[in-house]
Amino acid sequence: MSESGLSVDLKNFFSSLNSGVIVLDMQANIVCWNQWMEKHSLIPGYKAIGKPFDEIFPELVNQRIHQVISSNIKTGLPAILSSVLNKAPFPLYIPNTKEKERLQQQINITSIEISTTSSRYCLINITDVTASIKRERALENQVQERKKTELRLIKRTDQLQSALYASNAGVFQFDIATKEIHLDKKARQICFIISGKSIFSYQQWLKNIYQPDTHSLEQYLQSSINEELGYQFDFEFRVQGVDDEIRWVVIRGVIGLDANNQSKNINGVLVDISRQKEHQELVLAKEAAEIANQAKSAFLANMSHELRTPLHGILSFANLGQTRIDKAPREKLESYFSRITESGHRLLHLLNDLLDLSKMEAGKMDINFVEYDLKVLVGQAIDEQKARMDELKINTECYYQSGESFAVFDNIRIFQVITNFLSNAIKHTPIEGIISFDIKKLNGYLQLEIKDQGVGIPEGEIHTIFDKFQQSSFTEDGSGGTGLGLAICKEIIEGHNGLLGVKNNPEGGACFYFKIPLKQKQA
Amino acid sequence: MENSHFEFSEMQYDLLKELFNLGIGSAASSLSELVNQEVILSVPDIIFETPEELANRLGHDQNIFSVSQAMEGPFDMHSMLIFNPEDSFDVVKQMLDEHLSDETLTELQSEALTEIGNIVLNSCISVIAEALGESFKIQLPIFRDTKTHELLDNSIPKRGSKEVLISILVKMELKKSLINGHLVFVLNTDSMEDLYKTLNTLLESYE
Repeated sequence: MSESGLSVDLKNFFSSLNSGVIVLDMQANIVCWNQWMEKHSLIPGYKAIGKPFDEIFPELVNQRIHQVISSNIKTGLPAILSSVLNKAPFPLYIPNTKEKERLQQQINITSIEISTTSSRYCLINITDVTASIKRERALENQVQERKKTELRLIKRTDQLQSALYASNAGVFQFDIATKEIHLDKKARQICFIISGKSIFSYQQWLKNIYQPDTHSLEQYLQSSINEELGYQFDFEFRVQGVDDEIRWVVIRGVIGLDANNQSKNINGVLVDISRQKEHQELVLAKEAAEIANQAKSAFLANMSHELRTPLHGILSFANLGQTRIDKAPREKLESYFSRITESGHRLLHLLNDLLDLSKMEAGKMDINFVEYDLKVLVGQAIDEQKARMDELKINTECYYQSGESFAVFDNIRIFQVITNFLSNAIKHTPIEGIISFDIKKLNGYLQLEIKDQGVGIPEGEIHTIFDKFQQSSFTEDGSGGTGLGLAICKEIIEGHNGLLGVKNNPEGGACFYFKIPLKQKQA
Repeated sequence: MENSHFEFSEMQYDLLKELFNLGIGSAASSLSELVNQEVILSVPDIIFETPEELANRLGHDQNIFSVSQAMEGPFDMHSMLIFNPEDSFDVVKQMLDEHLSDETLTELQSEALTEIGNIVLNSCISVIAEALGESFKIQLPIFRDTKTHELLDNSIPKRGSKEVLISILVKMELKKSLINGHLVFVLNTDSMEDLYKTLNTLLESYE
């Protein structure tokens, strides 16, 4: 037993502890000060032992320590001072550091009784809890950060919700693996879904899609999932309600990818665009009406010009005849009459063409489908124009495969087309030139090409040449065309569900062609 | 359940009540200082009952936080401060002036509550010891997060769950923040005799 009354064994035991031990006798003098205390208080044991507690810690401001120590000495009451409610009361520091950092402490105060001497002591045990407090602080910071993030997230979510509300958009989510569709309340309203639940199978959802649009929507979805269309998703389709109300909807989203970069889901919005669609349709209808109006004006302007030209001829020669009937020689008068007749014929020809065309445009053209040999028609057309071609020493060539020139068509109408093409070709082919005909079958169509050796069609006119009152610029020489011939041809070929066109031959000259189906549905 | 061995006389009952009244009065003023608001107490309810009956009075199968201190002296006793987890959280929250998140407070509350229990129970016990003119050997407080029916398991030596104990139960209410808690003192059969003697000695000294 040492002079302090504590055994050497007990003191050695205290010294070995990895926590601070201060033992006070009943006069509050320090009788034990272990190594841990020396290390962290920087006060060596020999300076502390034997000194009153208050002398060693003169600036200890924590009143509770003084109170519990005195109460322990007086009545033996134990006490715990937690680091939470007591901020590092003892001046203890982490050793060997430049900045003196005070240790966070948990303090236990108990009584020890030495039975051999019947003496009682106050034991102050101090544990370093700095590390756990630091952990708590780090946790606290993390928590605060998380809360800030949550707040920001809530704010953003609110903004997004408001934006969605304002844009009249519903939210949808499509899970590619489970084929489940999640629709929020607005999205359900847009799709005419009355159910209160928000998750639907893909098949359930398809039931509300307007039938003619389901196939294209499914195709688009599949292409998106296969990443053929990039990561954006944008598709317009119609949905149908129980009372057959139809609504235009646009679905816009992005494709979400999983960790392996595979399409995982589609997230986006559904917007009711019925009004925009209605507006678009009205705009288109208005544009079409304006175009039709312009065409009508152009047609009237052209018509008056075309009618006035022969009428002028008739009126001026009739007037000339009237004024010169006494003086002019007979031959002159005869030439006036023949000019009047010529203009009359042109006027009649023009009016016939016009009547034809208006009938065709009104869909009142009678087409009499029969199976016929196109090569025979070509021969008849050539025969009809033979005298004129002989005059110009123009030769013809006709190419066809035996038995490959039959199709179902109206021979009278198609003859009209061939004659028109041929007379055009004659007009442009130089003396001693060749006009060639080529008949062939092509993908269910019978095609006829008529090539001349003229100057060809200027590039800018290739697409307008079949419009009414269009004449190629190099034929506008008063060669007698009404400007309606090719427009009539177009109507006839379209009446046969066929196609016609013109191109320039690489070796020079123009090539007019048409193709008609080998068989007609009506036939 | 009445215990046939010990019939406290009216005088003994009154003395016991008076003793604990003094003690819990002191405990209440300590707590009131800590949480800076008025603490209202009920009159100590002294009952002979089994651990199970006590547990049921505290709320059947409830989660509770308790801080208990065992004491040995003229009679052995177990003193406990009990709160339900939510209320104990509020008590700790009111004692810490710095603003901490609920997550951190939850981590810290067992440590803080142990100190609070220590302060409250010490102030009660020291007053009782002083009144008796006796000294008690008191253990450091222990914090437990448990169910009501497990409250007395392993804490005081018992002869089984049917053993009759004396429980002295005080209801506490923190008026401003509507927090409820209990102060409970439990003595087992062995200690009852010692208590009986102690009370008699004290009564005799007054006569």
